Amino acid sequence: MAYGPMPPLAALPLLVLYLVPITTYVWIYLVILLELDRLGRRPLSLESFPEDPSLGLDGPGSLASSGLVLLLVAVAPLLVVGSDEPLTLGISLAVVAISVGGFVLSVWRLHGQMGAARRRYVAVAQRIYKEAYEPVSKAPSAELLATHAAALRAAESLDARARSVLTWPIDKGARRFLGVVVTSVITSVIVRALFAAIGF
Amino acid sequence: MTDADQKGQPLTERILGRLGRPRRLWIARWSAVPLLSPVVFATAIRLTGASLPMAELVDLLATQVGLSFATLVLLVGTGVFTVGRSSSDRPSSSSPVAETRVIASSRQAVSQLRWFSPRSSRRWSVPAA
Repeated sequence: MAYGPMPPLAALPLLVLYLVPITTYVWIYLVILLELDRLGRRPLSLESFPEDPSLGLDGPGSLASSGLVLLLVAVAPLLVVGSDEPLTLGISLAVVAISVGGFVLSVWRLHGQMGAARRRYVAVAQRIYKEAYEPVSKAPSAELLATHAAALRAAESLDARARSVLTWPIDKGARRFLGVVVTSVITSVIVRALFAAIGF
Repeated sequence: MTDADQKGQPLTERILGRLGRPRRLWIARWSAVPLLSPVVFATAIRLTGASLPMAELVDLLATQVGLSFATLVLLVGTGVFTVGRSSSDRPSSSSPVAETRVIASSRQAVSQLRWFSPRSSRRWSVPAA
């Protein structure tokens, strides 16, 4: 309040005007996270194996990760601009940590269910492989192996597919992209703070 | 966009809908609002008889440019989450649950996000109790 109440009061209508899109987006993003958490609390029968390694959850997952990426892209310049003071730097890093932490927490239960589903599918695939291999192991011979080769190949392929089931509702590419965005934001904020500390 | 279409839309989408076309121009104008703030702030300071040091003005301007960019990205982002839906398949946004369905189903995720109706879920479902 170095200049009295008038300047902030004069700029208040503008502040309200540009806070509307920001708060609306944050509200929508929080709603998405809450819904993902709520979804994860319900027991899901994730039955889209083997055709879909994401078990049908790539849609909700990519929705939430897109939301996080947009949020980070939007706030990154603000974080960088304001990170020349230790307090602001702390707040900036806390904002990133809360955003990423909220995202991880919201999909945590889905991650648990997907992990359990993967273990289930891997166990089934291993059992099938064991059954397919059993005749060969009882009387090992090239002829018997050739007879059961097709079944063994199919069982092996099923096993590989079961192991490739995702345990997070985000595919690897999106996860990598998310990692790049988060790392870039944190790096930019820290580099800006370092430059400010040495007088630039 | 009709009033019925706007029902259940986020606030910014309702406002943009009312403002009409061209949508991109309205988004650009809205995003430019933070840039007016330093002008208004500096003018108000001058009216009080004081003056805003250049370093402070530059700091303020840098922050407002950041806010302008954030406003642009978030306006576009909200549009991406909600655009292209008619009121017939859009539930009311009176609750977070419904709001999320609005947002989620507006994208390709529609087929996966129908957890409220297990019968319609093709790829995963909530088992019946």
